[in-house]
Amino acid sequence: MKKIDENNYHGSPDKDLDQLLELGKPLPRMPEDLKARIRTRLAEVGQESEKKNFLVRRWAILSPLAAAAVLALFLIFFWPGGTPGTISWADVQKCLDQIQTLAGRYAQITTIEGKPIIFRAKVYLKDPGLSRYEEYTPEADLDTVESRSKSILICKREPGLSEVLTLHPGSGRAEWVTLNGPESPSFPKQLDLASENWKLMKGFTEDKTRRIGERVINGIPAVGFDFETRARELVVSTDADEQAHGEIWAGRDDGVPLLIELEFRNTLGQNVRIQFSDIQWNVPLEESLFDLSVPLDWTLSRTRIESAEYTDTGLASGVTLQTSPDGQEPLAATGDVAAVVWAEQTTDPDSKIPLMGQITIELKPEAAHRLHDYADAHPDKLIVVNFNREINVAAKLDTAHPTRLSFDLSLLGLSLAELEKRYFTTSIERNE
Amino acid sequence: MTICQESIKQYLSFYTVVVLMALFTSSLTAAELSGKQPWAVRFEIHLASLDKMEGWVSVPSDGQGPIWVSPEATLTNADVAEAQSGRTDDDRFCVNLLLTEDGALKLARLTKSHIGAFLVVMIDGRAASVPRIAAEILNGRARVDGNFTEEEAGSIAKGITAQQSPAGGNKK
Repeated sequence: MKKIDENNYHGSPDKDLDQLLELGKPLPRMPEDLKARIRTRLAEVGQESEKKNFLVRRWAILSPLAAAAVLALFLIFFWPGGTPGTISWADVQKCLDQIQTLAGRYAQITTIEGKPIIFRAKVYLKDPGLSRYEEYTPEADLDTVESRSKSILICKREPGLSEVLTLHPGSGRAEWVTLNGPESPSFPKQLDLASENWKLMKGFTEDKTRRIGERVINGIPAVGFDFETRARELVVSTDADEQAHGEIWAGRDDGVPLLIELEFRNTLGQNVRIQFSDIQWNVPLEESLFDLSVPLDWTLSRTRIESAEYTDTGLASGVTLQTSPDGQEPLAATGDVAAVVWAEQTTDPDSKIPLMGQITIELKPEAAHRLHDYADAHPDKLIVVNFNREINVAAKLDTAHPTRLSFDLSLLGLSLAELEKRYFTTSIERNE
Repeated sequence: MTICQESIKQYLSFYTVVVLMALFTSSLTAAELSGKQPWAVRFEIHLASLDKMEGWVSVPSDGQGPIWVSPEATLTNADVAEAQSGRTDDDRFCVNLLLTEDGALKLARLTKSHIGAFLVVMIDGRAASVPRIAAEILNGRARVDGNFTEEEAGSIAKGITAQQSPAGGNKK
């Protein structure tokens, strides 16, 4: 099939027909009178539903030219402006009901000091709970089977247990992370990423979309919509409050999204462009894509994350906590702690460095208010937690949950079970 | 899709990474910053700038022009509780650091008040990398990227916390 420049397609039916007929070589060229008859016929059927019937009949009669005619009709049928019907954003939003899989290509270009830093990947999402990301070098040709990925990340998630395997084919190394317990509040709760992404695409634009034109994408005529929103609503890893611009291109015939482009500035003021292209919905994805086995001769490092979401848990009797602006009097003390709500500990049997031991507490609203007031007035000043007179650690205020405060206790060198036993009132039983 | 990919990457980044992007590395010695010290491998983190700063020391860098380094080290070996070689997300060798209580608070203060600024990680007086502060680092962890080989990363990790013996050997 003739390759179409999807960004700059400005052909005409006649010209296309000529070009398509050229493709018939080395078959005999179509006589001009036959071409004229086809053009006439195409014009006659141009506004009628008989187009496809014509196509079928011609297929039988003019088999050597059938492929060309099919494409010609396709182009005419979908030629921008050639069809009176067109989709609205509402059509796009309701075009897919049941999503099982989503696949596509992801590219992110971050411009740092004038230099583009490119991240490219193929993405495969399969509900329930399966995802795979293949990262490629910027130079890799993703269309060739031989093109080897830099890394492959396979994720399998179910309630209470997540497994993430990262394979590095270049070095024969693999990392396997298991998470037992609820996932961090900052991590998306959704397990079914294909359908959730679809909801997200529909949801983040809502009624803010504006139709911007039409173009042909991978041979499919598409209608574009753009929208403005906040960057942090689109990308989890940025807190950037900057305006983000996005475009969604959907098939003009069926309203199915084909291409998504986003552009925004991150917290460092760097320009970030993201493109999710070659989007395919509900294509069959083999289970082998999500196989978590590691080749025998590879090096494997394992990491275990244990987490707990507490209810009715507080600081144990006698345990103290003071939260102060760096070097100043406390703004919150032990009595201001309403509850201990979350803990997460990461361990790596191959490492002597305790990776993380983060505790999240809920403060009484008035204490949280004092801390946020201070933080807002002094954004570059540290807030320090003195935990049980044993350790001073930097505190992190949670903007999503303003009454919550987190800090890391891994320097105490205690397991999560030991932390719970010594400092909290929880009755959770754990293996130490 | 954007959100999920970003989340997974973020999810796996256990270390709050100092390095957003190591802009360049230097193979030249910052003699002005060198001095006698008891550590087998001298480690320092300084504020850095790509623009000339009064009173700061110029350190040449490979093909990128000089960087300007604050004369006072914010972190030194004494602020490191543990050091271990590791791998970055993109499969390069690095050195992971767990800082002491004081070190963690120093890094937290520095990063909270200098988001967007540059740091220089000096290994034995040489600029190993020039990361930019992408976010405040409150959990006392840092990572040193420097285009190290596996052996280099291992030696640096071992040497950062190892005291130098009078005879020149290393002892923990």
